[in-house]
Amino acid sequence: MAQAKKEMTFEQSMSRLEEIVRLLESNQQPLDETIKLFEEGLKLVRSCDQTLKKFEKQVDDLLAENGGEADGNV
Amino acid sequence: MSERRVVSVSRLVSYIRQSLESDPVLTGFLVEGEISNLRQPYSGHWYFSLKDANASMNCVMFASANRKVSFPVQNGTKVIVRGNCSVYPQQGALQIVVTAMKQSGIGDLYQQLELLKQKLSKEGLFDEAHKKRLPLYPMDAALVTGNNTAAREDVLITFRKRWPVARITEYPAPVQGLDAPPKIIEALKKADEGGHQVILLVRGGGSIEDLWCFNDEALARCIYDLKTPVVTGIGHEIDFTIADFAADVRANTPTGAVETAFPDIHDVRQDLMNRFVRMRQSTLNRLSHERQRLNRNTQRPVFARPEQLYSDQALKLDYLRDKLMRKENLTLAKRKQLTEAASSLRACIRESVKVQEKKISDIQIRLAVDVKKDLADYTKQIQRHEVQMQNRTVYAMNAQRNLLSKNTALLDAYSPLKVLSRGYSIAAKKNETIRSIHQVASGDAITVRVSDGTIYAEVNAAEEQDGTGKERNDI
Repeated sequence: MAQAKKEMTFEQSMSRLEEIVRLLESNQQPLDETIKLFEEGLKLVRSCDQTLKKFEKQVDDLLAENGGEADGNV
Repeated sequence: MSERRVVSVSRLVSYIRQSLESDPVLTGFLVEGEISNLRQPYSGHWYFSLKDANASMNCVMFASANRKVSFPVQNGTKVIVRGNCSVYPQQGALQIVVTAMKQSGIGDLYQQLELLKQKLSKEGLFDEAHKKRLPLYPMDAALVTGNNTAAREDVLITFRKRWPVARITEYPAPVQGLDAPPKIIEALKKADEGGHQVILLVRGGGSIEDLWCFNDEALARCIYDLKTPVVTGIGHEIDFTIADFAADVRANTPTGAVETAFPDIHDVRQDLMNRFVRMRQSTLNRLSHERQRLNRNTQRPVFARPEQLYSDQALKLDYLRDKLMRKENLTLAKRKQLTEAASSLRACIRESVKVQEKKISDIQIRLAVDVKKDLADYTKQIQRHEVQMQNRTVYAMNAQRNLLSKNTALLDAYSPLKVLSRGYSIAAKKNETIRSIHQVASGDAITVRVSDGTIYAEVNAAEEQDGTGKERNDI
């Protein structure tokens, strides 16, 4: 699963992150597994955050470029 | 009979012809009947029979006259014709020369239309399932209608107002008259091949006869077969033609066809605006939703206080460590106990040893006393024995000494040395006293002991002698 991380979409990353949080909260894995999950979770948080920031900026930029026209006339 | 003149056939036919043609009743009459045996050769003249249930008349309608007929003529068509009676001389046949023709009874026309409609409907030409959907925003359209007609103008004006962004290509065709349907079909086929997104087939209002060309069966089949969706706008709201039924969408009027085929650009613009606003809003909402979702996950205790992940394990470790320590304490206590036991044991042993030692020492003391006493006894005894022994020895020694003195005196008397001093000698060979001559041989070395020393001699000879042995035996 760790190998496919690069290929994961935002949606998949978020789902995986939620799964990891659920697993960690149940805290029923062996400690080794827990630490691996924690590490993977942190990576996912970072990558999701970066992706979101990228999307947010993209939307802002696009609206700044094209939003004015739409507010008035197409 | 003989008085009667004989005339030629030509003269007779000519006479009949003149009689008929000059009869005012047989000139310009109107007669109603059904057309049959219709022939339309290349000359353009029509030849047919006009008949009813009981009678039949040959008719001819010259090209100059039939050009004006505005409805389809075929066998079975019921018509009213205007004509004159005449004779065709070559055959001597009576005929009507038709100058004008109209359909007899509009009711029949509707009946025909109804029959055609039923037939095509049965074939599935009007099936909803076959009808093609119109594109929402066609950018390329075709217009089939008459050149220089009011309908065309209406269409173009409405089109420019409503949807000027699209391109429209015109395929003109006559929209009235008998020859209109094939021309309309031709124009539609061309438009279909033009690859447009939609075809408009329109015609302005008019009489039922004017619109009749749109009830053509071939035209209906053509519309059905087209790949491009067709919108019709023929006549007014009340007018329904076969073409309308076969079309993908029927509009009331030419203008209605434009409104059906094209969206209003103002509406589209408004739509676009709304969609943009909705899109922007939903995108922003979605992003903020995802942001919240991510934050929710990030703020979960597992990330906020990750030590919780292992605190349980740490607690467990502590617990186990405690347990272990307690065990060690236990061991220590045991060891102490053991040590104490050992030392007390050692003390016991030491005590016991001491006791034993004392016992031994007591015994030793007692033993020593006993032994000393015994020793003293023994010593006394020994001393006593010693005295006794000394006494006995002295006694024995005295006795022996007396015996010795006696024997010494005796011995002295018998000593060979005394004998030697008296002149006797002792011969010996190799320290063995020679008692017999047989002990020696000639040449043997012998010693001869005399009183003051020894003589070393050699045997020269030996000679046996009697009586000497007696002396020797004495020695």
